[in-house]
Amino acid sequence: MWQGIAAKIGELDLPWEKTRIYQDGTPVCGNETALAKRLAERGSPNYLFIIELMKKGAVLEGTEDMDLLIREYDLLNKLLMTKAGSERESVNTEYQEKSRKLLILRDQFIAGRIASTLQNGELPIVFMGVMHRLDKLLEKEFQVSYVIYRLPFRSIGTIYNA
Amino acid sequence: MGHKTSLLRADPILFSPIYLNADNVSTEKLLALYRFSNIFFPKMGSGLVKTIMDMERHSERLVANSSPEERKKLIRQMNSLSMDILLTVSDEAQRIMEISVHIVPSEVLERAQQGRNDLVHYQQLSDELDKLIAKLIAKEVCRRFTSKLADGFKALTGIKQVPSFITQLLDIGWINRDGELLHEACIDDLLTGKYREQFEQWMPTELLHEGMEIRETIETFFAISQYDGDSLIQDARERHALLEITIRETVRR
Repeated sequence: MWQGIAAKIGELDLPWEKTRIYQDGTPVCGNETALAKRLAERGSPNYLFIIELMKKGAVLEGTEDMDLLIREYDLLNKLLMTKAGSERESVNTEYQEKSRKLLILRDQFIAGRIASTLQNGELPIVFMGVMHRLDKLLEKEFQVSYVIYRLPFRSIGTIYNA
Repeated sequence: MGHKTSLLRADPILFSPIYLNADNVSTEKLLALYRFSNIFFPKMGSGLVKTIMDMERHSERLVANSSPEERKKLIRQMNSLSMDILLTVSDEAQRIMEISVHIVPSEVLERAQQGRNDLVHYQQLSDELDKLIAKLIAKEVCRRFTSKLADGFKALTGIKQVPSFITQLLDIGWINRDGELLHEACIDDLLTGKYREQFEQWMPTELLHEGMEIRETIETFFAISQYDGDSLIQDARERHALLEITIRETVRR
């Protein structure tokens, strides 16, 4: 999938020196570039691609509220620490409910972050996971266009491998 | 039956697994059967399991009407006996569903005598059966719909000026040159995503309508959750690993 995205973005021929990247999971921390390099070294395909874009002149911007990411991490911890069985089921339900609420807060923060950091004449590229609804918040102020369309539900593969 | 898929991980003493001949099941038949059952036998899955469970409940009468000695004797005498009941659903001559119930009366009587509560087991069976039937129908409906989509895409890949919509799908690896949807593709995005407009422009209207109807049917009737447990956990593990590095690296600084 990332190869396809890279090809599509390449075709756009963007002014890279005036492009700011916002990435799901990248906190506002002051060492965004070092973090991206670390995650790219670990083999993360999206960060590998972001590093490529940065080499062309794009800037990676701190995107998320660290406190909210820590809350997400704690939720995931709880979910993964629970052994399979009936307890896992109830923790799953709790996780889905809480992470949905958390996602709304994260989206609000990201939308504010984009609005406050983007300079005149700059272009944002936003990489977000499938569950985000950030586009709904941004479309009031920005003209949103999609490199590929969102994947909000099950993929063919998931259905066939079920 | 040809290819059997075991649907239940039930206690083999009380229930044999339910088998579904997935190769022979057609969307229309199964969907019709499911709708019929929902109208006339609400909650078919649980209804079916209840019938089976009732066979066991009757054994309680025997417990109440006989002395402990008599029951022990009876259990001993029935020790080697077993009873098989076969329920089948056929489409013309082909069996599409087979429910094989294997009962060992002495075991049933022993359980009844011990007063074991089977409610948990019952609920588990009922839920699992409902989910499995729903999943199978959803899968079959999707399979049929994707083959229709493939026909539409194939027609468009063959024309002189291939629409950008199609080249984009080819580029991101969602379809191949034969128009077939590949692993990464997602029907919902075609029907309701940002390409809906182009889908509407290039594909037959009835295909869009059918797709929307199927989508609605699956969501309404079968209430398949967005994620099954396994994929949720897999996604959670990946995200957890990523966040762990992120937090560690940020805090270290």
